[in-house]
Formats: sequence, structure tokens, C-alpha cells
Amino acid sequence: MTAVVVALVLIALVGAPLFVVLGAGGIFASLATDLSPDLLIIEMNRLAATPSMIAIPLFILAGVTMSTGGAPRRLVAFYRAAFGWLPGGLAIVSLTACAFFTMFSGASGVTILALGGLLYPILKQEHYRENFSLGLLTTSGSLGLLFPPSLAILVFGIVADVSIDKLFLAGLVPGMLLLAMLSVYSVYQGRRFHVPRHDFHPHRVLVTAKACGWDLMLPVFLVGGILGGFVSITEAAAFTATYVLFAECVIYRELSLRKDLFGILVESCVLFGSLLAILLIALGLTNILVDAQVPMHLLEAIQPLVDNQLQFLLLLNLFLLIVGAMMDIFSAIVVVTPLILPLAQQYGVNPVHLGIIFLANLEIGYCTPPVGINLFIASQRFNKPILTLFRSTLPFLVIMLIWLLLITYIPELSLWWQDN
Amino acid sequence: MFARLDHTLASTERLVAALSLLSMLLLSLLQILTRNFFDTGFPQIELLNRHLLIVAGLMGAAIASYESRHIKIDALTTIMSDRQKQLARIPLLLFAALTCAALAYYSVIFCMDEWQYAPPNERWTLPFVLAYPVSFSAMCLHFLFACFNREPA
Repeated sequence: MTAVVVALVLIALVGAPLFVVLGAGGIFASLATDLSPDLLIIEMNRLAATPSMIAIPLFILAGVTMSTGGAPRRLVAFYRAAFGWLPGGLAIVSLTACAFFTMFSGASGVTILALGGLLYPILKQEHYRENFSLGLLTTSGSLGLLFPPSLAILVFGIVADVSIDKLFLAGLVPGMLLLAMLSVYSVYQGRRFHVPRHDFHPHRVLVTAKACGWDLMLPVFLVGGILGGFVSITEAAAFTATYVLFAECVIYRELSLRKDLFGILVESCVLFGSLLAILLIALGLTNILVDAQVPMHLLEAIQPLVDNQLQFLLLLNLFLLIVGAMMDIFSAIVVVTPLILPLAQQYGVNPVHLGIIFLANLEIGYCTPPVGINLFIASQRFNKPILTLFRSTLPFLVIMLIWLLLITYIPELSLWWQDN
Repeated sequence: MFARLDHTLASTERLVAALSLLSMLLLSLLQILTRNFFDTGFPQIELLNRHLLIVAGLMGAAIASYESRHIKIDALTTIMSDRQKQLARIPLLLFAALTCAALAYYSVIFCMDEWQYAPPNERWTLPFVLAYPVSFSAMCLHFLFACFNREPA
């Protein structure tokens, strides 16, 4: 058994698609426990019927439409007009625009690819230091992960069977806190290196806001609709996809229904398909592991080592940071959550709070050396050596780690809306 | 010849995936409109959408196999030389093809069980369940065809 697990991990590390490794693991685990492997397909089919699952491809469709259309350009123009007058204003523009964009695109590296290329030359042109600009854009690639309608939150909610509405609500304050902490650091850097400031022109803000009015109103409708209880997650997803397609094709005319729609639909299906394959197979596999009482054995193993909730959370943070640096966020959620959840419940951690800690760790893991995926995407996008990016992201990582400690040990930041 | 077959298969998958996702979007909109404006809804739409989701997703996964865009951990590939990567490529593709073939086989068993035990009012959705064996077989073929391509897959 151990030999097979080691072999599968090795096969995954040398580049086999993760769903293949998990699928082989699922077939092997079923045979080893005298179950028929078609149970894996039965579990997959049952999980595909989860009601919130339909929201995932529709939100992906909205994200792909936005990144293919002109949303990144319009948003940067607006945020620049609104915040460019602040010291470090353009850095705040980058943070805000990236967070906004990641909400819809998911932290799949699309943000760095779509916005990084647009913002990097502007930051350099405005005399921001190269290291600061690279660090800022690399870490910004996963900002916004805790804001609705984040795909990572959706996937965590489905996997952990936790209310997605509550997770959305819980992510708001931690998400804004991180944005504020990074903005304060950007203002400090802007002052320190005497980055020139721009004059504030209310007229320019109005013009750019008008140009991206449809984009800016979307989160208002979404957050209001979902958190106000007016629409379900699936309805919100269908509304968002239609709204974004309408805005890009009819209002802004950046895309053509005839020429671009097919490509956008296919691209969305590929992104969704690569996610669905690991999601279903990993969940089928973990259900088999749960049936084999693997989480209970894990609990028995760590109970003598961990006495209280504080120790458990510290250990969890360390473990998840390593997982986040090694694995893609969606794979990490589907593989690790079912194993961690029963342990967290034993130590009295609220599942909604656990979700926020989980995603925050993975968000940081994305930029953590040596294998954080954002570092590689940024290296490719900005044509810079990985070592330069390691150095550039370090100050941002320190800030994010302080933030992680705050949201881990002050649960009220995530659970302020709960009675008592 | 393999490249042409691979390409034709991928084109068919693209068409089916795009149509499924578009139908899902339109049906979801129809459901929102009928529920909010006419105070009614169609339970069949929810059922149909769940099956379209599987078709769109699995066809998307098949295209991801063709385009080599599946999610990978590949932490070791950053320190592997080009020659080592090339050496590992064919065994990895064969392993992927074999696993997909096994998944396709177990999907066929699953489909036969579904056909036997499905309630009569849900039998009309059974053709959609065929998406499992069809897409896993397509993924198997893409991985096998990729063995004959010079480009890394």
C-alpha cells in the first residue's frame, strides 16, 4: 500500500495530470478494500449532482468573458483616476484592480497574465522600484480570493458541505483587512521612494467610472443579491455570466457574439473540465478514504502531540502553507479538506472559520518559494528569474503572514456576523 | 493519421462542450425568469442542467487532455533537465491512457447499472450518463495519440 502511494506521489511530482493520479489511487484504494471500483464513478455522479456545482462553470464563463473583453483596461483606468493622487496610489490601483479581477477569474494565474502585463510597464514608468513592482503584482495574483463570488470559496463550500453564503460573509473582513495592510505598505513605499503623485480630477474619475459602470455595478448586485438572500448561488452565477456577456458584447462591443462566443464557451469548458476532473475523482477517492476511517486514524496519530486548539491551528497553518506552495488551490481544497475537517471539528474550530484559514493559507502558499505557482507565472509573464521574484515577494509575504496570524487567532474577524 | 483523428475528436468535443454550457446558461435563465415572473418552475430543467454540467465538464476535461492543460503538481519538473522530461513523457502518457481506459471500463459498468435501476421517470436522462465512458475513452485516446506526437503533451 505504502509503495503504491509513494509511486503515485512521485508520478504526480514528475508531471502526470492530477486527476489521473487520483483516479489510479481511487481504483487501487477500492480494490485494496475489496470494493468495486465502479463505486468511484457512482460517487462522482452523486457529487456532480450537488446543487451549487452548476454555479462553478457559469462563474468561470463570466471570468473568461471579462478577461477576454476589455474589463481589465477599463478597471485600471478608473482605479488610476480614483486613487492615483495618493502616495503609492498606483500600487493601490494594482492591488484593488487585481483583487476585483480575481473575484471573478479565480486565483488561477489569469490575474497576473491579464493585469500584470498591463500594470507592470505603468508601475515602472511611474518610478516604482522594480523589486517592489514585481512583488506587488506577484502577490496580487491571488488577492480577492476571499471576496464573493470567489470560485475557491464555492469549491470549499461544496467539498466541506459548509454554507457558501456564510463563507462569503466570513471572507469580507479578512479580505478587506489584507487589502488595507498591503495598501498601507504601498503608501509607505510610495513616500519612501518619492514616487510622483498625480493631481486629482473629479471629472476624470466620473468619465472613467462611466466607462466601466457596468463592471463596477456587478459586485454590488452580486454581494447584495447573495448576501441579501434575494438570489441563490446558482441564480447569481447565471445572472453574472449573462450580465458580463451582455456588457462585453452589446454595451461595450469589445466582443462579438458571432466571432468570440464559441471560443469563450470552449475556454470556459476547458477550465471547468480540468477542475471538475480532479474535483469529482478526488471527492470519490476521499469518500473511500473516509469509509476506510483514514481521518480517524490521523486523529488518533496527532491527538497525543496536539493538546489544544491553539496548537492545532499553528500546526494547521504550517501544514497548509506547505500544501499551498506545492499544490494548485483547487487540488489542495479537494484533497486536503475532507481529511482536515473532522480533525478541526474535534479541536472545536468553526467550519466557516476553518474555510477562511484554509483559503488564506493557500493564498499565501501561492507566492511562497520554492514552488508557489504565482512565482512561476510571474517569472514567465515578466521574463524575470525565479530568484528575483523570491526576493521581491518577501516583504509582501511577511505582511501576509502577519495577516494570517490575525485572522487565525481572532476568529471574530471572520465570524463577526454570528450571534454570540 | 493519428494527428488528424486526434484533431477531429477534439473538434467534436469542443462543439458538444460549448453547446452544453450555452444550453445550461439559457436553461438557468429560463428558470430564473419563470420562477420570478410567473411564480412557477420546471423541475426537469434542474435535472437536465445537472446532466449538461457533467457533459460540459467531462468534454472540457477531454479537450484539456488534447491541449495538455490538466492541473498538475509537477513540482519536480522545474529541476528536471529537458532530457529527463523527455524520458518521462511516454511512460507518463501511457500511465494516463491506462488509467483513463480503466475509468472508462468502470463507467460502462456504472451506466449498465443505471439503466437497470433508474426510475422510469428519469430514464430519459440516461443518454447523458454515457458522457462518463465516452469522455474517459476520448481522454485515453488523446493520451495515446500524444505518444506519437513530437510536441510534449
